[in-house]
Amino acid sequence: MENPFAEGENRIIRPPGTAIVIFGATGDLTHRKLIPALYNLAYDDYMPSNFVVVGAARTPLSDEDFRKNLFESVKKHSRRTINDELWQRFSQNIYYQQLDGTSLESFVKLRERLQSLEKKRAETLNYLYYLATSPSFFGPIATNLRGAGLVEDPKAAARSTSLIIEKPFGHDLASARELNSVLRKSFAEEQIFRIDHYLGKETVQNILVFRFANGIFEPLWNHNFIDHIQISFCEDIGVGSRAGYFDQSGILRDIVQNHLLQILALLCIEPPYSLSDADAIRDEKVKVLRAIRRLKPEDVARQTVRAQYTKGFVNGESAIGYMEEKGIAATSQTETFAALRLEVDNWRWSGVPIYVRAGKRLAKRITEISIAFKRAPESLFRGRQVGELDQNILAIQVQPNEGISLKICSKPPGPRLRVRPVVMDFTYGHSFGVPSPDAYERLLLDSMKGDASLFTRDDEIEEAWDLLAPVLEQWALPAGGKVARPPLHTYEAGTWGPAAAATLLKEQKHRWRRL
Amino acid sequence: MVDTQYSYTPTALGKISDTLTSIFAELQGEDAVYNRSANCNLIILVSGPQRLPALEQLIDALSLAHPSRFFVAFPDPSTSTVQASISARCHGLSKTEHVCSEVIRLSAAPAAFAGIPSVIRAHMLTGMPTEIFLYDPDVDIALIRAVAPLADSIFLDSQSFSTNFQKLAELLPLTRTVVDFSWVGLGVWREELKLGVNRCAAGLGRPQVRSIEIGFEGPSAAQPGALALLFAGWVVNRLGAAVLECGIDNCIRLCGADGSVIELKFVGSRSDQTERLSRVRLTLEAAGKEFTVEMLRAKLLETTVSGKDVHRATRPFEDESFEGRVRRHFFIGESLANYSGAVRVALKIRESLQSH
Ligand SMILES: NC(=O)c1ccc[n+]([C@@H]2O[C@H](COP(=O)([O-])OP(=O)(O)OC[C@H]3O[C@@H](n4cnc5c(N)ncnc54)[C@H](OP(=O)(O)O)[C@@H]3O)[C@@H](O)[C@H]2O)c1
Repeated sequence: MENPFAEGENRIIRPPGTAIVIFGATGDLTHRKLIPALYNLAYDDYMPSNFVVVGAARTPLSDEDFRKNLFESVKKHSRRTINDELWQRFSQNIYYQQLDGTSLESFVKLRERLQSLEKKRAETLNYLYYLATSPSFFGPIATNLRGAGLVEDPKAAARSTSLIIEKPFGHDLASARELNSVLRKSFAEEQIFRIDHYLGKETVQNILVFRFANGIFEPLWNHNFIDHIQISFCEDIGVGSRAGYFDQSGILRDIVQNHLLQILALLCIEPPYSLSDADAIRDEKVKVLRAIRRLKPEDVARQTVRAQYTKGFVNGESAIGYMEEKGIAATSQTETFAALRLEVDNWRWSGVPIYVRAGKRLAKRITEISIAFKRAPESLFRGRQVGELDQNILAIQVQPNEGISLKICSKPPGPRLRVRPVVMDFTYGHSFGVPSPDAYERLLLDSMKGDASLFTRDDEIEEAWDLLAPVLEQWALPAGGKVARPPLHTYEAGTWGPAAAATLLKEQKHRWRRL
Repeated sequence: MVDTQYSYTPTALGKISDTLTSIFAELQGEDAVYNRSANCNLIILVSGPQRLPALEQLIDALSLAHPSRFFVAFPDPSTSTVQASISARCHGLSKTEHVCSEVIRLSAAPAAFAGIPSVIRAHMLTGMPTEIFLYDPDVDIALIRAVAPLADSIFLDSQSFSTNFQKLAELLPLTRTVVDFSWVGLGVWREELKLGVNRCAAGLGRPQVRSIEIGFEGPSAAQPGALALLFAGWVVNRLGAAVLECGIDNCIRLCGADGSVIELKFVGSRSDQTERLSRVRLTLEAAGKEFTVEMLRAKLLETTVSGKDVHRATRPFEDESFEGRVRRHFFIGESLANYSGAVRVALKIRESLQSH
C-alpha cells in the first residue's frame, strides 16, 4: 500500500476543486441536462467547495445573459425546486467565454480566462472539459486544448485535466477507431470519459449490486437456470426535432450500440476482482462484448429485424408515419425499430438467447431488462388443470418507474389447487423514500472525482461496433443487388413493433414480454 | 364491501396515470390504507353507454374476486375524440385496510375508435396477464379483433351468444384461452356424467356409447342453445366421434371412434327462463351388457345409473346465475382442458342442424 492512510478510507463524496468547461454551452444538452444536474448536485451539497463552470460557444453572450438563460432552463428541467439563494451562490461561479472550437486563438483566450478565475480562488483547480457539441468538433477541440497548453500529462501534473464526450462515438468501427486515435493524440485514454448516461441510472448500477450482493441470484445466473434474457428500450415519441440527425443514424446506432449493449455487458459479466478499480469492471465488460457471437452475413436476416413506423395512434392521439416526418429523406431506409437475437458464446451463457429491441413510436415509454428463468417441471401439476406454468421473470425497470420485480407462481386462496402468477415488487421511490437522481448528476460527480467506472472505454466502444458491423453492412446493401438486403418492415405507430419481431422469438418458443 | 366509489373523474389521455395517483391520494384517510392492487389487466368491451349501469355490478364482483386494472371500452357517438375517465373500486380487508382496483373508462365515436387500443396498450400493467371480458354479445367483432392481440385470454358467456353461436368460431382463433362461463355452469353435469360412466364401466373395460339424449328448456324449444350444444360437443368430442348426418327432429347420427353409429338427440321444451339443461341420458354397452346413465334436473341434480343394478345419486346445483358462475371461476376455478374441443364439435353440430 503506497499510502498507509488510504486503507479503509472511502468517505469523500465531495470532489476536489474543479473548473468545468462546457463546449456547446448554448445548446440543448447543456440547458436541459448539464446545468440542471450541476445545480442539483449543489442542492445536495455535493459540489466542490471551489468550482467554476465556463460555458463556451460561438454566440456572443455576457456572463450575466448566460446565467439568465440558464436560470430559465434550470427552472424548467431541474428535479429540485429552485432555491433563489442557492441559485445566486451557484450561478456566481458560472461564466461564459465566446469561443470557436476550430480556432486555436480562442483556446489561448480560454486558458487566460481559466487562469484568472483560478487565481481568485486560491486553490488549484482540476480542468474538466465537457464536449457538448456536434461530434465533428471533438477532434478540433481536443487538438486545440492541447495546442493551447490546456492538457497536462496525467502522471506528472499537479492538476488533472480530463475530457468528457457524448455519443455518438463514431458511426461505425472505422470511424470509432479514427475518433479514438484523434482524441488520444491530445489526451491519454485514462483522461477520456465517454458518457453513456444509461450507466448513470440507478437501476443500471444496481445490476452489479443485485447480482453480487445477493447470495440467491448469482448461483442461478447462468445457462443452467436462465432460459433467455430480453432488453427492451421503448419510446412513444417519434424523431421530432432530431429528425435530421436520426435519419443519418437509425436506432441501432443511436441506442443499441451504446446503451443496450452496455446493459447487456453488465448483466453478463463475471464478478470483477474489485468494484473500486474502474478498469476491473470495464475489463470484464469487454470480455462479454468480445464473447458475443458475431453474426455471419447470412445470419443477419434471420437474427435481426428492422422496421419503420407508419401512421397510427399513440395513447389515443394520431401520429404521423416516419416518412411523413419533417427532415426525413424521401428514400430513407433508416430503421426506427431494431430487434436482435444475440448469444454470449462463453461457458456461463452458452445457449441462452439474449433478445434486444429498441424502437420509437411504440406503445409507451419504458426501458426494461427481463430475465426469464427456466420453467419448473410440470409433472407435479399435470392433470390438475393449472395450465402451462409461467416462467419466473426477474424484471429490472430502468425507466420510467425504476425498480425490480419478480414474478412467481402462487396458489390463489380456495379449495382447488390452482396456480397464478403474482409479482413481488421493489420500487426505488417506495423503498428508499427518495427519487433517484438524474443519471447526469452521478456521472458529472464521478467525472469530477476522476472515477471512470461508469464511463465507457475505447475498447468497449470498438467491440460494440465490431459486433454490429455485419448487421450495419447487410442493412446497407443496395436494393436489387446480388445479395438480398434484409427487408425493412413497417409497424403502426403506437404498437409494439412489426410482426417480424415476434417471429424472431418464435423459433425458440419465446415471446416478447408484454410491457 | 366497505367503500365503493362509483364516480368517474374525467381525465386527459396524457394524464391517466397522474389522475389515478391523485384519486388514490385523495382516498387515503387518517385511519385507513387503500392499496392499489391488480393481478391482471382486464379489458371489458361493451357495445355502448346504455350497457354501463349494469356493468358496474359486474366490476364490483370482479374487483372482489380478481383485483385488476380494468379498462372499459365502448363506442359513444356523442364524443368525437377518445375520452377517458377513472374510478376506483375498494373492498375492505379489515377496518383499516382496503384493496382497490382501478377502472379506466375509454370511449370514442365509432370513427375514432381506432385510437382506443393504443390507450389501453399505453396503460397496461407491465408483465401482468391480460384478459378480455366480452360482457356484451353485441360488441363489434372488429373491436374485439383490434384488442385481442393484447390479451392472453377471453372471458365470455356463450349463453349470451345463443342467437349468434357462430360468433364463437370467430373468437376462438383470436386467443389462446377462452373462459366460457357457460362451460363453468356445466361443470356439475360433466362431473356427474363422469361419475355415472365410471360406475357402469367399473371392471368392464371401455364402454361403447349407443345413444345420447340431451334435454333443454328455454325460450326456444325448436333448436338447442349454447348450453345444450356445448354439452353435446363435449360428450361427442370425448368419445372421439364424428358428426355424420342430420336427421329430422334435432337428431344427429354420429360415427363413433370404433365405427359404430351413435344417435344424438336434442329434446327441447319451452320456458320463459334463460336456457338450461333439463335432462341427459346416455345408453352404453360394456362387456356385452347395456347400461343407461340418466341425469335429471329436479331440485337437485338426480343421477340414475341402471344396468344389472340401479344406483341413484343426487347433487346440489351450484349458483347458476351469471354472477355465481363468475364467482365460481375466480374463487374456485374450473378445468378448461376440454373446452376448445367441445366448442369445435358444438359448432359442427350446430352447422349440421341448421343445414337441415
Ligand atoms: N441533447 C441531448 O439530449 C443529447 C443527448 C445525448 C447526446 N447528445 C450529444 O451531445 C452533443 C450536443 O448535443 P446538443 O443537442 O446540445 O446539440 P445543439 O443543441 O445543436 O448544440 C450544439 C452546441 O455546439 C455549439 N457549437 C456549434 N459549432 C461550434 C463551434 N464551431 N465552436 C464551438 N461551439 C460550437 C453551439 O453553439 P453556437 O452555435 O453558439 O456555437 C451549441 O451550443 C451532440 O454530440 C449530441 O449528439 C445530446
